[in-house]
Amino acid sequence: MANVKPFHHAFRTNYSGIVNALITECQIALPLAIDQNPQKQFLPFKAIWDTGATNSVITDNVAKKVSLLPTGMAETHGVHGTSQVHTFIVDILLPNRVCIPNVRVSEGTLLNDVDVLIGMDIIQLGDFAISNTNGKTIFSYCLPPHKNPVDLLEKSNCVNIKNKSIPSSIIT
Amino acid sequence: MLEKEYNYFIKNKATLLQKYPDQFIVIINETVVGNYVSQEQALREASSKYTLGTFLIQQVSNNPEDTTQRFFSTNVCFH
Repeated sequence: MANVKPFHHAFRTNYSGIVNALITECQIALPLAIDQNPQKQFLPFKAIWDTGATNSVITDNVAKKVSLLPTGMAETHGVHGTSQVHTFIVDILLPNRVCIPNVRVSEGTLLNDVDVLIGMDIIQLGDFAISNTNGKTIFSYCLPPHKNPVDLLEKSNCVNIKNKSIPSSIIT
Repeated sequence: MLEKEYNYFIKNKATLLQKYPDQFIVIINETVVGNYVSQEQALREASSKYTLGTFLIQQVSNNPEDTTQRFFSTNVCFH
């Protein structure tokens, strides 16, 4: 039997400057467990990627537009305190056209016009990289993760040896 | 919506942990109407039998990380 190598779905967002929040598009639909129709409608929303969140969140706007009803409750601990909130199960379509089915998300309020918070429950499924070269943030993500991970220490060591650079406490 | 079911789960968590360890249970009012090995299975079965919004799916776990969500930024707030 042939050894089938996985296909890595990836996307990259090039921002016009340095950003302090990673915002992309994503799409939300009823979960696969309820709606198995391959032609089902995904609705687009603006998403913020947040490594400081253990789980993903949607606003009530998403719940209303996608016609979601709560299937659970969860205890959330945040900088604003502790709450008990409704949870929903959804399918999330990432910019790389990968669908993450049956994700349990909480209902919360998000800033600006962002309707989805993508937390570590999704980020940890793939490889996640940010770089800030030439004053512009580049954010890329791929799923499934690569076998040879992004290693900035190794890359820096190689470049430093090649350039014969010496450590400095001054960052320029 | 679902507060009654969630409060029942919290109040009876110790008993439910003994009876349904690491399973996903479906609660309506104050009764466990099903137990499953996965969230997907619980949702599929429960939504085929009951109206959405009337049942609560809850993972019965002793690990607080499975039942508690943490947010370390100000991107989100909960009411």
